[in-house]
Amino acid sequence: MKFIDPHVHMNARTTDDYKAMRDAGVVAVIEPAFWLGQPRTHIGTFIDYYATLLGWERFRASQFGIKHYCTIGLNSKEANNEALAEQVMDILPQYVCKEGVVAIGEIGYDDQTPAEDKFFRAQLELAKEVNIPVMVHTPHRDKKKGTSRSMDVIEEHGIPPQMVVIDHNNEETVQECLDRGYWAGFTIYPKTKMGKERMAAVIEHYGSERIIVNSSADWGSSDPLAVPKCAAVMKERGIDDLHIETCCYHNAIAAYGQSGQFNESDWLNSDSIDQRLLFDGNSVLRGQEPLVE
Amino acid sequence: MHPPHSHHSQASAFLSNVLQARLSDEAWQWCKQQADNIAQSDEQSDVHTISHKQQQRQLHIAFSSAVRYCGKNALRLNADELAAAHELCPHWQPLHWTTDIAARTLLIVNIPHDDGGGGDKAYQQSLDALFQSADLNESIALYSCLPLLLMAHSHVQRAGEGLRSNVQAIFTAIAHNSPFPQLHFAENNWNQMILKALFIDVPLYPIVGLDDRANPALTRMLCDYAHERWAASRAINPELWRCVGYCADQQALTDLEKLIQSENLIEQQAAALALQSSSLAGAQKILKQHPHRLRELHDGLQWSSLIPR
Repeated sequence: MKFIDPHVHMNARTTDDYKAMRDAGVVAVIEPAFWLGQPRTHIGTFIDYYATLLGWERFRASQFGIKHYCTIGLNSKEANNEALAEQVMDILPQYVCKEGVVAIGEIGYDDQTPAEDKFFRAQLELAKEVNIPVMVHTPHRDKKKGTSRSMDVIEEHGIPPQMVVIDHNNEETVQECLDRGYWAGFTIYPKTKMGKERMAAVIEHYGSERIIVNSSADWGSSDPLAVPKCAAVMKERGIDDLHIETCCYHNAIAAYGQSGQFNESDWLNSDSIDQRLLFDGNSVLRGQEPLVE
Repeated sequence: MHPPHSHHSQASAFLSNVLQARLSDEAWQWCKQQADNIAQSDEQSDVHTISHKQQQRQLHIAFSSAVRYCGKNALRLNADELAAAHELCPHWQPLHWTTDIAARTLLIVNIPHDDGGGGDKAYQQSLDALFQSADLNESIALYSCLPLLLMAHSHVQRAGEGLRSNVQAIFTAIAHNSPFPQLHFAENNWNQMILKALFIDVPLYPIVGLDDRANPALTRMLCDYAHERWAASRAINPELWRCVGYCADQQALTDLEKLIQSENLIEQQAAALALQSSSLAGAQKILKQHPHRLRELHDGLQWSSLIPR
């Protein structure tokens, strides 16, 4: 079975993770633009970070046979530095039309401050202008209200729900999210957010329509194999393959494919990995046997 | 002196012909429109119909969107087109260019600049901004077009930065089939490029000027590298020796003498070719001890004979 991890911060992960993901069947990843664990202080670091997502990280993934895509945006935490956030808004148009950018994201609320609200709305307008999907980060604190509010604001700005993935859902938010017509993303973490068994229970209850599973693996305690492992748990519980493939593969394509930048043919037709193209010293390999398929 | 715009206009004309022959009508119209907008943007800003910020935005959106409209299909230039390319820019051969690279280059050569009116600064800033925000394929396009751009000296540092990349396609965009490094790199930059090509296992033969720019420092660097590889029992690209022969010293001769006795025929032939290019008497002496290789040289053995096709 093939998998997509449509929300994973690969620049915080090692090549061991890429290799393990590839071995487990992950064929494509979407890396949302995010903060670095502490607030940035200069516009230059945003510029260089976006360039890395679009350049080196994309290449690094390709060395392990995984297609890498990203979302570009100003995240909710850093929206609180208004002067810096304004500068980010100025440069976003340069990036959002680039190849492999599948959405504006991950945007939304963290503390639900006025500044976060201002830049959430500004980016929703930008998403409308360039007509690409939106990846919404829902707050981890005061989640239920924050998620409702996010959807209210999206509708205020006239963006159709099928263009929006509301991420980091849980049992409390999923009903409303699905009822209002959005894609519902779920993040499977080892100890917090959603767990694999609970995810399986959600699928048993709601089916797989418009549900998307992801790992959001980052620099913290997280698991880049969450998607294939969750699929395995679902299978053990007797959920049929069609539902599993829908929430662990097909829905991501349907949602983010609306950008025109995320197509199954990208990885189905792509060349096999040949790490002999770069070896020894100056590549991601450091003396390993090259992997040739 | 040529008028300031003429070289870029010629490049623009060449690329327009190449693209128009390959793109759909819709795609070509988009391309042409974007190039025209960019070409006229400084006039427009003079009369304040479009601010500098809007100009930059237009340029960036056009540049990044090029791949959506023009695709990424190999140009596969025919003999006439390759001849025209060589005439436009001697030793420039865009053998591996794709339609998005050509389209993006078309936009670049239409960015307004002038020779003395301060337009240079705006032009350089535009280029800086594009390089800074480039994704992988945009980077490849930007580095690929350097040989066509005026004010080559102002692009040397950029090119040097690009060669630091470990992405093979970015490295070859600068190093292969382009006169730029031979014409504009200082000796140490040239030498580091050759060494890096060997490190990342990129072929040397498409580098223009390999024979002309051999130098003693490079000979020493390459021989030292060969010794490292021998010590680690690792294979050496036989093309390395091409850059050693011309300025070979006694140590290099010793290495070549070892190489010509290799079990591998390609290595023996590489040694023979390298020895042939040396003016040292010792080189001829070694060659005379290997009549089979000498005969091959007389029969026209060349470096290109060693390349697997």
